[in-house]
Amino acid sequence: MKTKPTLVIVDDSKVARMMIYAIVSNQFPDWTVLEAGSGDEALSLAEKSAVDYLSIDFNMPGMDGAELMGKINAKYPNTKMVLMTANVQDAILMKVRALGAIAIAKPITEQSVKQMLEYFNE
Amino acid sequence: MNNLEILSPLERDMLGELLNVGIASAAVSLSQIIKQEVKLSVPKIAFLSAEEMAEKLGGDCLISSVSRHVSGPFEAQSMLLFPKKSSVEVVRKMLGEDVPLDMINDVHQEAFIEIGNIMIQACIDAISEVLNVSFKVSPADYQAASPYKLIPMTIGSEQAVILDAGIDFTLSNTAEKGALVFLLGPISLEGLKKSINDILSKFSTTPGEQ
Repeated sequence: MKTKPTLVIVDDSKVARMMIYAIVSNQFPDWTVLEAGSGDEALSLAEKSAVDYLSIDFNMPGMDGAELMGKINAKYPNTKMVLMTANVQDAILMKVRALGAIAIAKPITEQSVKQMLEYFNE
Repeated sequence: MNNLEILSPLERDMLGELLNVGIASAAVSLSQIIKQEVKLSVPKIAFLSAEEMAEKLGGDCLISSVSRHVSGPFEAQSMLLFPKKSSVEVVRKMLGEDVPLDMINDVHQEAFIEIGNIMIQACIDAISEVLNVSFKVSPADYQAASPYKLIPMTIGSEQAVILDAGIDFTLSNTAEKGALVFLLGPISLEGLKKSINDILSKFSTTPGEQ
C-alpha cells in the first residue's frame, strides 16, 4: 500500500458518495478520495490516475457494480474493491467473491464504512 | 400530479438512496423466500396521484396487494403490489414447484401476506437505519382488486400521493414483476422532508465535484 492511497467512490447517488466521503476523510484525511457517478466515469478515472481502492454501488444506470468490478479486475488486478449495496442477494455475492472482492451491506453507516476501510488496510 | 419540485436536488437524491436501500433490502428477503435472484430496475422516483399509479399498474387488471401502515416521524401506507397472476407464481416459488396449483390457490392469500409482511418489514427496517429513527408498522392487510379500487385516493383526510421509487422487482427465471410503493399525505411529505434533511445536515462536508 502506498502511504497516500487513492480511493474512488462509485455511486450514482451524490448523497451516498458524500456520506462515504465524510467518514473516510475523517478516518484518513491524507487519502485522495475521488468520486464517480457511474461505471464509465470510474473506468475513465482509473485510466487517468493510479487507483488503489474502489467503493462500488451495485444498482446504477448503465453498467451495474458487478460488471464494473469485472472490468476493473481484468485491467487492474491489484486494485481492491468493495461492493457497497443493500442488494446482498446470494447471486450477487457469488459474482463478487468470484472476483476476489467483498460486499458490504448498505445502509452507509460509520460501521459499514469502517468495515470497508479495514478490508482495504488488510 | 408530481410534487418532486418540493424537494431540492440533494433531497431528491437522498430520497432515491433511501428508497433504493429499503427496496433492495425487501428484494433480498424475497430472494431468500423464493430461492432465486430478484432483479431490480434502476430507481427513478416520482410522486404519482392515485389515478396515475392505477394507470401505471394496468388500470383494470387484478392486483394483489399487501399493505401495512407505517407511523413514526411521518406516516405512510406501504403497499406491495403484484399482478394477481404473478403473486400466485411468487407463492408457488415459495412453496415449491411440485405443489399442485389448487393447493397453492388455497393458501395463496395467507402466503402472500407473509411475503408482504417480511418484505415491508425489511424495507422499513433499512429505512429506519438510514434515517436513524424508529417506526411502528401495523399488521398486514391483503386485498385483490383492480388498481382503481385498490389505491386509496385519500389517506386520513388528506389527498394521497404515491411515492414510487420506480424500482420493479423482476424474478430472474420468469417475467413476474412487482413493486413496493408508499402512500403519503401532504403532512407526511413534510415529515419525510424533515427526516431527510436531518440526515443531510450530518454530511455537510462536500467532496470536490468530478
